[in-house]
Amino acid sequence: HPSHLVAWLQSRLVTIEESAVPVTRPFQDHYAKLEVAPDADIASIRRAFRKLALVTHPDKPSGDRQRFQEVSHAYEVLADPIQREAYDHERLRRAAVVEEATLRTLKLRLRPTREVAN
Amino acid sequence: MSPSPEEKSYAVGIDLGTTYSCVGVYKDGEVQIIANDQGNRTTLSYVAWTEQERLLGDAAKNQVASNPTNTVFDAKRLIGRRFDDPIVQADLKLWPFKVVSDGSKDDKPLIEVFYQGVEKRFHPEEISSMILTKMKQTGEAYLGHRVREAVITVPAYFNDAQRQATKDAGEIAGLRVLRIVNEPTAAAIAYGLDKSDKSGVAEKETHILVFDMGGGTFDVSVLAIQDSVFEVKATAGDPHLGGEDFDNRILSHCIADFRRKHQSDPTRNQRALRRLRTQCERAKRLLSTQTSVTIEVDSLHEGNDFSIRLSRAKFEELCIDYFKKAMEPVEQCLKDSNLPQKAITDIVMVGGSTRIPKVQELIKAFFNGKELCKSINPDEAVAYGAAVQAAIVSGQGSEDVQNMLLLDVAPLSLGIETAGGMMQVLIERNSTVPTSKSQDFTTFEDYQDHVDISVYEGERAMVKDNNFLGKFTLKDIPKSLRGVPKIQVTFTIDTNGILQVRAEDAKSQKRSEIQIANEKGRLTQNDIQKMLQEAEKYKGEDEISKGDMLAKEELKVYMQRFEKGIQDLDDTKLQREDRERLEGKLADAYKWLENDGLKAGKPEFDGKQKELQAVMNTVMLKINRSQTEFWDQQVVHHEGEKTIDKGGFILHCGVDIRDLIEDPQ
Repeated sequence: HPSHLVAWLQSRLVTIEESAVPVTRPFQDHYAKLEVAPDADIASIRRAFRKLALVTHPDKPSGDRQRFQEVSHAYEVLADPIQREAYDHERLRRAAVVEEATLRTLKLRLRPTREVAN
Repeated sequence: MSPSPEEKSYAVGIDLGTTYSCVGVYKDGEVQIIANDQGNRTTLSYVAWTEQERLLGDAAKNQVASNPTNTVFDAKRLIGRRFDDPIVQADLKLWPFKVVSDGSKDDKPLIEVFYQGVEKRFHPEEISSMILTKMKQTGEAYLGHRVREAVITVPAYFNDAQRQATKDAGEIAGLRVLRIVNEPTAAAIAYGLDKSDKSGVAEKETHILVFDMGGGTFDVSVLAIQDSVFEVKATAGDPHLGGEDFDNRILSHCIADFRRKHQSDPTRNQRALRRLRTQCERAKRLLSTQTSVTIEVDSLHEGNDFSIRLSRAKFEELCIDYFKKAMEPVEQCLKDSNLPQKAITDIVMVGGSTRIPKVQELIKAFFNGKELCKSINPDEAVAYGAAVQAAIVSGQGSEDVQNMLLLDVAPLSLGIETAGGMMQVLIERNSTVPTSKSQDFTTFEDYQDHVDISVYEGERAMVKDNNFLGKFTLKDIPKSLRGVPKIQVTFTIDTNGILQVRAEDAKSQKRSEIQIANEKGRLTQNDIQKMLQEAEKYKGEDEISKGDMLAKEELKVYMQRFEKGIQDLDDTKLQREDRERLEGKLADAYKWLENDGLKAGKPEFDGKQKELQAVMNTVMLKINRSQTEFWDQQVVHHEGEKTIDKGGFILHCGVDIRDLIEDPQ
């Protein structure tokens, strides 16, 4: 029966949308935060962090705790070779997944409309 | 631009040490380490209560042998700890003063002393605040201005509760604590400034290791210095290892020797122990420059003299396990900083105990014979750095200083207990502060409506092996199946290294938060306020009692002269009834001094003296002798007497006895 089908589809839609939530969560671009290129070497990452720390650390008149913590977290990840590799990997994967997820949600949103129309 | 002198205020840096404290200020483009009223650049961290007054610093230690149970030191070894802490229990046995539990569930330690015949109990924070007050006064005396703000240092390896308690001590002393700074980090600033003075600011990144071993605590930190940014890479240490432990070893050695020689045990004799300990400490210091030393105490116990020869080799043998133990944090710290040994360009030695040749030898050997940096003063470097940090944070100081930045770390991992008693770490040790980390947690059972969040610090996998900091409950979570609710826990560490924890249920937006140390026997804001008032009162009392003492001494001197005066007047001049009257008055005065005099103040003493003077004057007039003659005669008798020597008391008859003594007719 069509109405059963609609109900089934709607329940499916909800489940998929829920599982899609973490994918759409904002992803921090640590390279942008430190104002360095994604292929920057460790020395320039350190230097960039210290330069930004001088400006953002709460001890400084221009300080901003939130910003310092973001900069500091970005540095923490990028200064550690293991964490950085994992992050780079994740960064590329997420970029792909976000794209795919967006497409999938769009597709699913379109489909029930067609079913109901039938 | 510069504020008027009245409103000018300085922020000082205070190194609050276990055995010594030191204060510095950044002024006119440089750091001044300030000498106390005794002319010493470090002040003993001692507080004592005598029958009459409270003594602080050097004055307190000077009378320790005669008043051991009311002379308090080592408060830093108690601060932020529970009474049942095994470390506290072990230390207790070595202290001549009494420490008791406050009996609450927090089991806070209290120090018990007798002051003016009354039993008084103090929190370790209060004792520390008294030392801080002394340092504050030292600063004020030098600057000629009030000191309201300070940076106080703590061992890098101090935990959350110990940091909080130190901050509280500052507040009780009436100081706004701008920052709690780690001691090795402060020392690194002193080193960095010293270096940049000589060679210009280093563009290149350098790594240093600070080895800080003082009287009671031990820290190691590895820092990266680039431009003027000091970044702590890793820190490790032992909050209970230092010179006092070495003193204790020598002391035990001496006691064993005394027992063998004299078949008697001095360990219950607090006075003997104190005298012996002082000599042991002296011996330890001397052994840094000479190879053997004699420890001697006359009539130590039951009339027996004590003397022993101690060689440097024997001293090293007694303490070698401590020295070796000190190498572990060095190794740990290097490992944590991910640096090879050869990356360390300088090893900076700070703290009095780094003068011990064996300690230097071991660390040198660890770094394959690398020379140690001894260009900075090991006793003052921490206060020096704290003074610079005070200038940075308070916005004082020159441009050089304003361009500096200190990036410090949290010394211990912090996390919460999860199912099965496991520790889930939120903030890893050696994370740069300030920092904030969040993690999502969920419920363990169906329809669970609250969660208990227990917070721990430490490196072990099971929470039972770590240090419990506090616990709080997040209530009224909307009921649902297990695993459905989303509870976000956020840990925030501020620039002082002090932790705050927040939990939030995503759906209901219910929140719960704690400043951790509140839960763990920390003083409440109320307690602090109360102690602050008490301290203010004490300060007044100190000043009053100084005046009281003076008045009392004056009265005593007068009474002695009064007595002599009566004796010197023969019966031809002084009638019997007058003599009896005078003697009666004098006896009354002595009795009064013994009883009421114990709690009397300056007005009472002055009154009593006037009373005696009045009687004496009437008698004098009666026997027709001039007052001046009487006084002249008395002065001759008292010339060279101790009270007058020291004195300079201006007596109420208007004659300054000093004038009479220095210029005899």
